Amino acid sequence: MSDDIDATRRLLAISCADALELMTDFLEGALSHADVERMHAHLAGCEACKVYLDQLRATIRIVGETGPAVTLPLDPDRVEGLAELFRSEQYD
Amino acid sequence: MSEAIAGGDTGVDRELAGRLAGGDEAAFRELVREHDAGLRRMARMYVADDVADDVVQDTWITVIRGIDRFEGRSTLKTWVYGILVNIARRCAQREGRTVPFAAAGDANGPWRGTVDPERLDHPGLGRGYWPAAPTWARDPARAAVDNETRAVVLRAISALAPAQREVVTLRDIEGWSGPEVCEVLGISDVNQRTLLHRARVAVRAALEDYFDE
Repeated sequence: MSDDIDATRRLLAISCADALELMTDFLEGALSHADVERMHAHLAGCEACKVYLDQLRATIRIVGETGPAVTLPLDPDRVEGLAELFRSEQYD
Repeated sequence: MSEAIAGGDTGVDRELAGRLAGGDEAAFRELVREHDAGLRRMARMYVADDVADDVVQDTWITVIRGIDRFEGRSTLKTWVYGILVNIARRCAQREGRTVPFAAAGDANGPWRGTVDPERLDHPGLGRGYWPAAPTWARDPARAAVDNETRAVVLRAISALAPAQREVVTLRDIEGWSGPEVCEVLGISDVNQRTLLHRARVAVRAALEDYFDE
């Protein structure tokens, strides 16, 4: 039984706790080649971490689609005011 | 032209900066149209809404007066936003507000782990391993972002430590690249990724509560 556990641990390369800490770096392409290999080995054998990684990807997509808390339409008066400022600065 | 401005090609940016320095008002208007709304949103991360537009105004004045000093080492976009961040942080300090100084960073603050260690305890493999997949009752993969989901996300982001909020807003809402964020906020790439990870993990946890209820 404990041989099975050791074999499974070896197959997974790293613990789930370690894999979870590396997930953003994994998505960012910031891991070393060795760590990428470990992540692939872990994800191949760990459905739970695959689910978590998919949830992280979904989170990124949802945050992106959420958009800014406030939308500030471009105010034509502001553009005119700033353009005037630009003109006035040219003669200083 | 707007694509060229947004694109961040420093050769194009140097050419545009040259036109600005030469007093080309059309080029300036284009720059304002491209970035004014984003600058106003950014300023609101640091100062009260009613002060934010003054900060942006000061930024534009500094841009106009300092365009001669733009050397093309950064993109025009990161140069302009960098000016805004400096002005906004000084202004926020004067107002006694908590400044999201990613540079001072809470990236090294206390961290219990991406997932609460209590949840990682497999009956056979032991601590550090999931006992079961953290599946949610509702699948988020295809979930449309309705108003309720949006509210959950915005609430989670506003509850973040300021430096995390700053980084996740720029990266995942405004769509900036990692190097752009590092340059404008003056933080290392490692620090940026740590802050981003912690922020995303917190937002994911809020979505878990929502999608798994």
